[in-house]
Amino acid sequence: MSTGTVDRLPAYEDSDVVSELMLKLRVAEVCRQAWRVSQHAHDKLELAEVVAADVTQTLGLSAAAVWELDRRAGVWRLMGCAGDLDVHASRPHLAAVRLDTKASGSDIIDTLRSDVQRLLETTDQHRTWVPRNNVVAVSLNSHVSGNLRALMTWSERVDECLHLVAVESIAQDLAQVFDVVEVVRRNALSGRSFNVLFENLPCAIAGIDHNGRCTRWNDAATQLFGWDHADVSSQPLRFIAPACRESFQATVELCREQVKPCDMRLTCQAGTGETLQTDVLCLPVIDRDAQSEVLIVISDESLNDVRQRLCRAEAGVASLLSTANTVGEVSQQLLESICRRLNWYGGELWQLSADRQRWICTAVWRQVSESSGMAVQPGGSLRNDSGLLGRVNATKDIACADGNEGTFDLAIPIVCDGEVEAAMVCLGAQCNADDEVVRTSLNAIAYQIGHALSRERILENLQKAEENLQQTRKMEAIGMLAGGIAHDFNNLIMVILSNCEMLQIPTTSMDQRADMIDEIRTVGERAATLTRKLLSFSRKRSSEPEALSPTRLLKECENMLERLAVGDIVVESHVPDGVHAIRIDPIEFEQLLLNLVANARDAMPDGGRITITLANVSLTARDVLAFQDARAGDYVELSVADTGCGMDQETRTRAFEPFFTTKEQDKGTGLGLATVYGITRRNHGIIKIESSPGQGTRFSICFPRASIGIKPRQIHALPRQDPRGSETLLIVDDEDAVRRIIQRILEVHGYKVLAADSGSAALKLLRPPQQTCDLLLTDVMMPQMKGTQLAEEARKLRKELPIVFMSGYYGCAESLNNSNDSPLLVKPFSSDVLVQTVRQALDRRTFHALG
Amino acid sequence: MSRRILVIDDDAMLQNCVVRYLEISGHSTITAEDGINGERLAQSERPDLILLDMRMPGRSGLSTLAALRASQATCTIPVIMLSGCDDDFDAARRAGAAQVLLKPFSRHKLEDAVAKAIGTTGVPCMQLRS
Repeated sequence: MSTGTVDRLPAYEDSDVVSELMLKLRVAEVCRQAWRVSQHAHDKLELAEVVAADVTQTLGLSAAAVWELDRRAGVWRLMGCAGDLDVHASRPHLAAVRLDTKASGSDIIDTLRSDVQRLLETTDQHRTWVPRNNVVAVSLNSHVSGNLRALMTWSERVDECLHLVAVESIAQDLAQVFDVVEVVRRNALSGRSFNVLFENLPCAIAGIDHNGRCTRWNDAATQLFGWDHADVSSQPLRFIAPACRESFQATVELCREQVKPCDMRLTCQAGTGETLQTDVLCLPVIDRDAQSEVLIVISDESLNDVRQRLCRAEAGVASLLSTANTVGEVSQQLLESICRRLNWYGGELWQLSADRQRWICTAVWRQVSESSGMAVQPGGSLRNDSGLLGRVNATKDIACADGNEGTFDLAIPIVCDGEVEAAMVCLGAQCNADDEVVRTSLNAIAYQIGHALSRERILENLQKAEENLQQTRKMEAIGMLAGGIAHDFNNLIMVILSNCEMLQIPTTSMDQRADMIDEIRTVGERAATLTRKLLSFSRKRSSEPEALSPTRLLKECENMLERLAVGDIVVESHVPDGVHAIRIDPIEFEQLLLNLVANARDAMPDGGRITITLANVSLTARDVLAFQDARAGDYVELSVADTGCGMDQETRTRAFEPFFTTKEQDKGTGLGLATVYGITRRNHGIIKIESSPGQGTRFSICFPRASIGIKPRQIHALPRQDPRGSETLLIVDDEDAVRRIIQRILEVHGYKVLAADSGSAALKLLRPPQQTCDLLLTDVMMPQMKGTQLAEEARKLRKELPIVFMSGYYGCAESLNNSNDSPLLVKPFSSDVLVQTVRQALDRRTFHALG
Repeated sequence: MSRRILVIDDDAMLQNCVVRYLEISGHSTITAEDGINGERLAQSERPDLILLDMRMPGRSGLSTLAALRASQATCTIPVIMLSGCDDDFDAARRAGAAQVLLKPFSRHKLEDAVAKAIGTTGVPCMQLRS
């Protein structure tokens, strides 16, 4: 019988080098496979079966078996085997039958008795025994549990040397693999206590499965990173900084491969985007269901330092407040940021009510216990002397709970303008509020919030004051505007009434009467123009731009400009030949020019010079860069310059602002230049101011050149035809004076006139079929029944009745549902326009009837 | 009794109306269309009465009244302010106007106002303040 030493092995020859290399490869493969299997194997028995099979197949052996000593029973138990052990049945030392895993290994042991026994009982070092040719046995003793194990292999085909070397080579790895499985499996058996520990450990722990998906996430991890379990479950880990993902993955792989703890420094990212430097420990585990995972234990290095946490809390608050318009916008985030950084379990923000009698809860982070009776929902309220809140209100200082003051541990007052306005209360405050540094830091956090509240209040008051000022200015301007309108209209009325009075004096000559009548007509037209201008300013009248010559427009305004040049003011104009046409409503051009000249005049109370200039200019892209929607091209520049007091920077900046004025109270409403600006923009123009105090002012307006030819300026005269007639007309107007004058005018022209003061009265007249009526002339805006409604009803009675509408409301044209194209007379209208319109409407009806 | 009355108003038509009224009542008139010229005429012609429009472009009626009151030559001439808006009444009285007439006014109203004003004597501003 051999003694089991290696001395008897034949020496290697050169031809064996290749075989040796092949063997090494196979050995490595066996070890690698064993490690892999260990991650999934349910227990040692399963591992032993797989190892035996792998050893047999990979090394080309006949059979292999793994044994473990059952110390209690005093027998060696077969854990797993593979190969055809029956092949060796004829051998006396292999008198074993097909082995059963539950069977005692004593048959084989008996056969090999003393030798194998000696081998199997070796515990302190690795031993290889070769009791017979073609049989090798190695110990796989546990260094963890002290269990004795052995691997036996049989080989008919493999060279003895190689057989020995191979089995020796894999022995150490296989021993470790069995150890790991044993230890991990043991750990998995205490899953319940593990879960308790996992959930309550103060350090952040996450678990990942073999696909790298999150399987576990404890509360400490939520506190550190900000994500809840639901946010991260079954997803790849979010907190790994991108630059570290590769190295982290490698560490986890290593941990799995070697089934041993691995650690590394890791840069992490919290949910808020903040970067954290951490120490990470990867632990391989198998859970109760034998599912393997890796636990990642994360330690935030900064959490260990209270001062650092406080600094970061302060910085977090400053960052949030700097991006918010109001504290209310970010109160929830403020609480969350402070609580997380300071490791507080929960927190609330409370503010004193306006009457300071109650605290109102405005924000909550992590709802805390209601056992204290304190309201925990935003909007809840408490008396101002309640618990910790009452104390901070009274003392204006941080208050720590003395055990009798409800749920909260700490209350921090937030002072605004010298008074406690709010307070932050928290639960689970682990920092020592008696520490001077801690108190300073907490007060600094509260100060930031109080300062933000104070600033918010100031801005709010400022905004209110500005709104009030604007409103006051508006009302003042409206008052002045009303006064100005009253003044202008009263002037016109004065002329009309005084001329009427004079006309009644018998001694007034015919020539004088003619002049007076002319004056009455003139001021009537002026009143109509004034109304149109007022409506134009208020944008009730839609502008009607057309291609016009600004030279001619300027000339038409000469009379008005002369009126403006009062006292020692000289108005001169420079207009070269060939000024391009522009597209503008003539009334708007007149308004714009007069406003500019009036503004220039008012800047020169002691006289001066106003210069009006027209010129063709070409503007480049650079010239128009500062003006939205403006394009490079040909323009016509209108400039109005004065030698007045000039404007300073602020006045120039605000010159076009509605209601802004520097004039005396009875001089300006502040709307003139606003009107100029509005007209300019509507007509796609550009306006610039050049001015400085004492140096006069020049307004320059550039209008785009009109691309089509100038339309001859039409005076809207109706074709002259004999307006007389003998038809019967029905006029309807609720205004007695208007109705009477229209009736008089029409009767003078030969018409028979029926008059009604309302729609219902008119219909009463129209109903009898024998009543002749050739045309309906009706006001639109009447109480009870509008003119349009009357027209509809009248057409039911008289299908072909021509209708003419009258209205003093400029918006009427758009709102009139005029499906029959009935003409609209806009008041005030001349008698000429009235009779011509009536005549045309009657003739149109006759034409259609004949047609 | 016929008086010489200066009418200062920037509105030519209105000025005509007032002049007509005054001439029918037997008064003679001189006219100006702005405050500066009105002041010059008042100093050179020394009318018995001035009818002064309140709201005028350039120098306003109130400014013109203040200038008339400040001048020794014109401070004693009574001034009737013509206004289209009753907001101006207090300001006109404080500035030393003998009366304020709200437009539109009839010929009779103007006659009454002239009669009342001619009876008064304009007081220099300095004396008014003391």
